[in-house]
Amino acid sequence: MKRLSALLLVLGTAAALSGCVKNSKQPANTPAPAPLFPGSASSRSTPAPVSAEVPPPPVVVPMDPSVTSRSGDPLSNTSVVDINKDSPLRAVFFAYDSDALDDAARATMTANADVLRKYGTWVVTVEGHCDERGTAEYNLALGDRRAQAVKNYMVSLGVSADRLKTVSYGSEFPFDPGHDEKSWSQNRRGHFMLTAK
Amino acid sequence: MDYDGASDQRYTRLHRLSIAPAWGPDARTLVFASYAPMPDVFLATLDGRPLTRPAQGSDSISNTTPVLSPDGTKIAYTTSRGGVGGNYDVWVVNRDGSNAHNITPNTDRSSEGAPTWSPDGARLAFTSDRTGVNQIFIMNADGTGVQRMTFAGKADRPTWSKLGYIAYTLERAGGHDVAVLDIGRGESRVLTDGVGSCRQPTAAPNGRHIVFVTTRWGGKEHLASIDYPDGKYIRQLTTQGNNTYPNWSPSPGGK
Repeated sequence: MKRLSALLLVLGTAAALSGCVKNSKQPANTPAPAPLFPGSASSRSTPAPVSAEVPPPPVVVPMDPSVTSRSGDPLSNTSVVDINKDSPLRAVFFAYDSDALDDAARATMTANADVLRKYGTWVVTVEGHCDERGTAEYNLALGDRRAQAVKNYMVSLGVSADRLKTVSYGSEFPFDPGHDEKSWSQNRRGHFMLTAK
Repeated sequence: MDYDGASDQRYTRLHRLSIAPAWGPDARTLVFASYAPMPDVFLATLDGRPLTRPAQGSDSISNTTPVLSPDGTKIAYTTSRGGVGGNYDVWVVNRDGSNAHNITPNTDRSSEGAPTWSPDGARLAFTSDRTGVNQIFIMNADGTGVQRMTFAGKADRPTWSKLGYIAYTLERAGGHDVAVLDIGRGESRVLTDGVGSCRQPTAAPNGRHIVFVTTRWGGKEHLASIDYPDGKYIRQLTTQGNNTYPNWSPSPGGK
């Protein structure tokens, strides 16, 4: 008889957030060196004469802004997963039951926009999070509004909208498991998660 | 798991967050929301057939809190599809994914969500913040005849019982309690006792028991049951981890 009145439950904390993060298998965006003499492989036996009348080969200037993530930049050889562990993209924090951006939030996003300008191929998901005090269902909507507010301000700073996705986790994934304002203040956030580079 | 908390089984193995499950009327079907990467409605049958996604989510739409109609043919859910300014609506879609439509249209300035079907399938209760903060409203299943039912605090997660009441989460300055609304009289009262946070109620098929989420035992979220109508005999059902979004299955035959 017990089975007939079964209850279903979800162990919310058992879910793996990592399943939401795509592992980028793309190589770092270091442009392959351009051949100095195009076609030289087939003309190996007849080297082109060096002449003042022959213009030098054009210098290749990639249009892709990722040219700035040259090999000297440690992040260019760091995986998406590892970058997210200590990301240069900082989280934005909110007041209780609010999706309004304060001065600190705007300053954080100005710095984040600089990072995204430097790494022009990065694609980011802005996660909206809430503290545990509202109801779970309400927090899904509040987290959505927070993520949208962050995205909209980033777009206003010149970051392309198609590099910024949003998702709400409501209060399902608290960063700090405590039950006081110190923890709650950490959990009311717009979190920048790098998803591709 | 069983009603006394025994023999719980993990159902999903999707390796991503799944929330808000709800049983179908035959207790062989469930719907739930899962992140893929945005939350979408998944329909599962316990005989192992492949999952389907009747609400046809995308990577820019959020579909959550699905509930199957009492006859099992339709799913009501909360969605950001077509929402203006981040506002949500309640949509209904056939189980096979056809005829998805907004049943709370013309509510661009407010969010509607957390639907629950009346036992005869003719009406739905849902939340809306059209009057400021979330309150519970009821309407006919076609979206007509909207009527506000709660007036205090903030209300969320209604669940419609066969005994003519709607149990819901009542949020006040002191925290969360499970409250019950007598639909016929339009009156609400608090059922739980204010110990810890008490929320997300789900009613037993016969209406005499309500299971809810509470932090009364050491801060973690556990499931407890309480008797209706007198609010007595609170019993702890879970002991491990945090446990949320309970949903009581119907008994076979729908009785």
